[in-house]
Amino acid sequence: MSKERERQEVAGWFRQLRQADEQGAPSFEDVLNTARRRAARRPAQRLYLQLAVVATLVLFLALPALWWQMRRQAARHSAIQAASISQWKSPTDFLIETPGRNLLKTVPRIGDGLIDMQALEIEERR
Amino acid sequence: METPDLFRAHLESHHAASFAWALSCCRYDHVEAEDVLQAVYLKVLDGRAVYDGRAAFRTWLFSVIRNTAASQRRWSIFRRLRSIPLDHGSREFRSQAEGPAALAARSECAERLLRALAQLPRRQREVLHLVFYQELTIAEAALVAGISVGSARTHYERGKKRLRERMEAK
Repeated sequence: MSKERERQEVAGWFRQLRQADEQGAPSFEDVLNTARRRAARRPAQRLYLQLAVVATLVLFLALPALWWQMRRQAARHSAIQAASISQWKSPTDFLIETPGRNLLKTVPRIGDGLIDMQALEIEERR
Repeated sequence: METPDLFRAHLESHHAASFAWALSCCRYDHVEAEDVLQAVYLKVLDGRAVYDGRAAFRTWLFSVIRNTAASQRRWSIFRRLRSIPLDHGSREFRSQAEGPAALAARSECAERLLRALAQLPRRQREVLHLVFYQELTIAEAALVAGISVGSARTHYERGKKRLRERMEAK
């Protein structure tokens, strides 16, 4: 079959389809009027859509900022905690300090007295 | 610059052809095709779709219809996912909403053609519809489908061959 005959055959099928479709098409006025009714309802829908977009954007921007802020606060808090632990001193610490405690921490030297009075005095002054 | 009245007259004169093209873009779903056409008419009359005069009005209008149908198809996927359980591959080519008058008017040959077209890839179906149904040239069909003339010609030749095979097989 030649290309032209093939083309004519296919064109014939489509012609029949077109003839059938012409009866089933809605009128132009109907389509346009429905479209206008839909358009009248649309401003509210568009507003909701815009609000949803804005809310989503805000959420996307605010969430990382909030997360970053929380992380910063947590880091600061843990640094303060670490510092306070290293500086902590027991309120009953003085009870375990005995007179002459420093003498026990030092190596005695030949020629020094058995009891270093000066050290004792300093200890007592504290 | 054309006035809305003039656009309206243009749209009215191409209404039947536009509806047929919308039907083809929506796999012969009448409700969806009407939705698409409503959206297109609004776009044109509101000035959201601007005719720049580079192509013929009909060619431009058909490409607006094609793009609108494509975007509605994407949205309808979400809508379907939300409301109806998935039913892979069972979508009928023709909608239930199609009126009985339209069905009765269609000859057996037209029905066979619709079934055969349903089995073709979208591009081939589009090009065949534009060339044979709408009587556009292959270059115009390429413009509407947003593809090169060479690729439109390939779709045309392959589509025609496959369509004839399908029609003869029945």
